[in-house]
Amino acid sequence: MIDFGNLVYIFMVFSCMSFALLRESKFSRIGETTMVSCTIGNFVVMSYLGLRGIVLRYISKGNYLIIFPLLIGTLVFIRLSGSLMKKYKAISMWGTNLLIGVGMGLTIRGVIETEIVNQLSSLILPLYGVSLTEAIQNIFVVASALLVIFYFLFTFYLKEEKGIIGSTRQLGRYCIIVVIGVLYGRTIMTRVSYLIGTFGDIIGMFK
Amino acid sequence: MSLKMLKDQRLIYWILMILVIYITINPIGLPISITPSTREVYDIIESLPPGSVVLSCSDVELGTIPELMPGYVAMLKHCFRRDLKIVHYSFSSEAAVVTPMIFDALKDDLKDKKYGDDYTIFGFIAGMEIGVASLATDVQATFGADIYGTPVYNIPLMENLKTAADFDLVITAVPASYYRFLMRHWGAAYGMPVLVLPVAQVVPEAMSFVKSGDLAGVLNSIRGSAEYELLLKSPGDAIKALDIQSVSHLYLILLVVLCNVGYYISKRSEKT
Repeated sequence: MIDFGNLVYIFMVFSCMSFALLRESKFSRIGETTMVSCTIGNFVVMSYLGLRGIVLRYISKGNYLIIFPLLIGTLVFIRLSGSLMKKYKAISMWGTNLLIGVGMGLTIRGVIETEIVNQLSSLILPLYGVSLTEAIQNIFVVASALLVIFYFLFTFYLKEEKGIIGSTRQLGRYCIIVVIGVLYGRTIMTRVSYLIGTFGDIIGMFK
Repeated sequence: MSLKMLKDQRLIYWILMILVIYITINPIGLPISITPSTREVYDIIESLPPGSVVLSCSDVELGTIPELMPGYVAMLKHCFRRDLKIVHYSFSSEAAVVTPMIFDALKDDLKDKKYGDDYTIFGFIAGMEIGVASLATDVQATFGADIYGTPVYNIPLMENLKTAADFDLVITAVPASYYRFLMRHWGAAYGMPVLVLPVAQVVPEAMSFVKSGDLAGVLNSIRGSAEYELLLKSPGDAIKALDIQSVSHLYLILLVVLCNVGYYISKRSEKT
């Protein structure tokens, strides 16, 4: 079913796609700028509504301590004024610094176990005593992990890639290239999915 | 029309667009096999006893709807068919638009479900990792109220849910590496199994966490979603999309091969 909203949708889709299909023009910029501005506008509104909900909830329960983090967050707006920034630049960063500090602390708590220890322990794989396919797979995984780590050991940096160290670094480089190829292919898969979904919606409107 | 037109890279996009439109109108119906990773995710949800509580955390954004929504709806459908309780929220600011679309697609499965007892919907929780960590330690204080303004302590389903330990499973759909927040603060901290439906480019890194045991399972984006729909015997948009994706990928592989052959030939002719 075609209504005004769907017509706007079709217009915006072809406006953005005209960048690739034809050339950059005012028509293509309409879609891009509308998308960027709507995304930012939506984010600002949702963040404000979320914050308002939290503040009102705390204040309605008689918990006025919420005002302190609210004030610290408001200090960021000092950046909007050049004259205030000159005097109070350090104070304007309190909110950001607090956020970064809390974020880092929370991240480190989980990163060490999940992204370092567990990832390293999952590399300890059986290289024999299992089926041939599994053995080959495990050898490949362990070897490529070691080669890539070796590539990044800059202690062995040589001006020319030669000898055993040079060959090992070259193999490490090939492993990285394979991974980059996989990521590239996967990214294309994601982008093509968006195209499929978009045209599926548009064609569905005409059925 | 001249041969010079063949050198125009816009031709690549035109052919891709025409191919996608043609296959959308005339689907081929290529066969789909079920991969072990999809079977793993299915079995995990299937093994949960009725009445188990699932945290459904959606980060589906408007741009990622074609890739993530079919699979996410399929997982939620499976949960509802298994009589699992769903607590749904989002850490994407586009939740106000996407969440109604998700539950609209589930309306047939919600006919015999009661809001507040079998499922409840909270809106957007800001703060990304901080929000997820806060939710894990104090669910009730972080949620506050649902999308209808009902305070969390007035929702029967939320009565006994205080921390992450009170849940039985987490399912999430993410357009980037945001599953790591749940993996760290729900999975590692509370031992909660986390099932992830990421976009295709994030699947290889997510799979490494399945191997290390930090994630319970990963659905392989649109391919995994189509397999899940097959397992559920509930065909949807993912199965339709897979045909088109297979053909478009074949086209792109052909382009890569042609470009490499052309490069090799031009190098040889330069030498001679």
